[in-house]
Amino acid sequence: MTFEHVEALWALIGLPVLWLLARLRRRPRAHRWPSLLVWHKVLAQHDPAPRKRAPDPLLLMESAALLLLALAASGPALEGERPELRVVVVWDAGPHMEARRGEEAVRHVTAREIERIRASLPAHSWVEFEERGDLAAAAAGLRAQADLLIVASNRPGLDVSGALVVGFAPTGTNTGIDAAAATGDDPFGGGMDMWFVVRTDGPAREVEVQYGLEGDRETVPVGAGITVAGDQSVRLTEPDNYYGDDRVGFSLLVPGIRSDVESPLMDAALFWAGLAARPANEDADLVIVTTGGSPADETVLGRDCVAAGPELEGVILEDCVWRGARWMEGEGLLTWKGKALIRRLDDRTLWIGLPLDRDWDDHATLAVFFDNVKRETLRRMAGPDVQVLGNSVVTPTPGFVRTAGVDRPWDGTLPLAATPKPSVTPLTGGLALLAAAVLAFYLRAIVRAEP
Amino acid sequence: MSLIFDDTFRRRLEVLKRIVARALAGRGGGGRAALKERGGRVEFAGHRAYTPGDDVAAVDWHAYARLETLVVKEFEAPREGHLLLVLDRSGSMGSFGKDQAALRLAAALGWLGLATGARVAAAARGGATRWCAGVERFREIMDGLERLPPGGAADLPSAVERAPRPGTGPLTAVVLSDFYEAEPAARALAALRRRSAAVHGVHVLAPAEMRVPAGAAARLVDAETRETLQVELTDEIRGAFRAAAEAFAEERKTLAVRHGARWTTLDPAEDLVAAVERVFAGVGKA
Repeated sequence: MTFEHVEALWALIGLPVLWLLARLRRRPRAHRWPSLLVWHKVLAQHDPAPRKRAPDPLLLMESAALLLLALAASGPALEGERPELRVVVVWDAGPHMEARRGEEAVRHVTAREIERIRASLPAHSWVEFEERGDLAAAAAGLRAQADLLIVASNRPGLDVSGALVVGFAPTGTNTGIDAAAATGDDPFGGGMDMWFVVRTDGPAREVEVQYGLEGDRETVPVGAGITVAGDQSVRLTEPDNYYGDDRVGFSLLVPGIRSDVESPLMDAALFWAGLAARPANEDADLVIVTTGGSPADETVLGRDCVAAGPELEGVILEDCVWRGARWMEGEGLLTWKGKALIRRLDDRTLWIGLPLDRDWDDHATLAVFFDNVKRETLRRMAGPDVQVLGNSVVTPTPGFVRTAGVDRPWDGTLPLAATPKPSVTPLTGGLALLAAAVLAFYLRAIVRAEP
Repeated sequence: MSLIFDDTFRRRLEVLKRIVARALAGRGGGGRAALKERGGRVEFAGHRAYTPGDDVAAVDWHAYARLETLVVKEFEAPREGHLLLVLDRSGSMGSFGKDQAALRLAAALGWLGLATGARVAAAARGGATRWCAGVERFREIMDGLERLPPGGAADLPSAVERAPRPGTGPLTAVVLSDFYEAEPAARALAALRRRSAAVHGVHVLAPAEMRVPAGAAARLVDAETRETLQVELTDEIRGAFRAAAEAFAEERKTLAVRHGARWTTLDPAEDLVAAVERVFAGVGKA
């Protein structure tokens, strides 16, 4: 039973008051008697036991009326069975759930949190799980069907209104980046490579630069008037060996490859999904994506990509061609063994793929080549004032990338679309009628009472 | 105390003077003329032989004709009567107007005693007045009655002890009490009897104290001892109390009669004149 105005029940404190007053009224009247001599004689022979008095009917009616009125005023209602709470959990099927948070994958940490939320749900809750890549569309479609929508994703900038977003931003260098990030301790874990485009405007900043896999990290101030844009990378499998180059300026790390394990980046679908899910960097004039592999094959040629021709102007291609790279001038595509090495994805996104292949016996050569490509690209687009920091791993400063929605702690509230309420049967009317009936009997008894 | 002793009341009491006078009358000596000079009533008391010097007027010539001997009549002036009012002013008398009724009756008797030539005094546990004579001394009697302290336990023997001793003349004692304590009452009556008093007991009882109060239960508080008694007033108790009250009244009457006292009851609400008449009803009739 529920009470709408439970404070009205305080009126029941009048019940003991009524009984106390009645008791005082029924107290034997005191009589001043000349002498108790005769009474003692009487009681010595007749000692009546205190007789049990019948309850005063008027008092019973007063008490019943007060009880019923207080209950009626409190707005009682009988609750029906609570309806089922339908909860839908949408898992992000994207690769960013493979990001690591400490020693665990974000996916596992998120699952634990989902379980904690599920345990706090009311009884009679029905939980469904869906794994989707297009989270926004999935949430929009499922929102109407669910009383509570939970989205498990660590995708930054996720806008799923009305849902509880559960996700954990991976720790490490690529906070908020929608790709697997290297661990904080080993920024090169998995062969991460980051490169930043700088522009001439924006506040001065420092960036951390690491040269090579085991190189020292340095904090390098960005030049005045230079901003640092974002970069994106796709995680590689854990390499067994690393091919490093300690030379400053040539720190493009090429992770070793395990011939028996294919890079997941060889999966074109995964690659494109990861790239498609990257956050929009509207501030960047150019985004260069580098990967340690080349999942794209020549069939990419059929995609609508801007040719990389201009970027290769001035680049010394001889070394690449000497090693078997093929320049498809007409398509603006540099390929090797059928794999594209460089490709312009759109008007401001350039992709450079570094083959993970032991056939390249001198990766430094290719590293130089790609370094030249980057510099030339930047030079062409930004002019002589652009500083190129080179191939380095840079830890982004906080707030560098939007992380809205996935990295704040859960406050315990459940954004229910509408709180499912059980049906209620109000009892106020019936109690009020009963109270009126009792009062009518009471008044009748008083009026008819003999003086 | 507001005793209504206005002229109307006195006129009503006047009617009772003869009754009271007869009740309080005694016997006395002296010639008729001499006795009349004192303002008292004379009575033939007998013959004796004439001795020289006797009043010739006292010679009974009729007796001489028969006896051929000179004899003189002897007359007696009645001895001055004494009316002693013994009052119970204990706490038990303070209920149902009994104390006021007793005082009013005592005052009425006192006035009548004074009006008929008797000496009147009053006594209670806490004090006593002196003997007063003459109606003009009624105020003193009234003041004396009012000064008798009320409250406390009844102690009739003590009151009798405090009463002033009468001179020569018959003593009539009127004891006004509710007589709840039997043994002290008996002692007081016996003490008065030893003083050769004609004792009249007035049992002051209110009808209300002879009835059970209304209600299912009652909390009774003793007026003297402040003892509290809570009683469930069942029908059985009601019947038992009525019987016990009647038995109590009868027992006290029996006790008074056993000690040679006349007995009457006084309802505090009854007419005072009727009560006075009843106290001395039949007293002194031949």
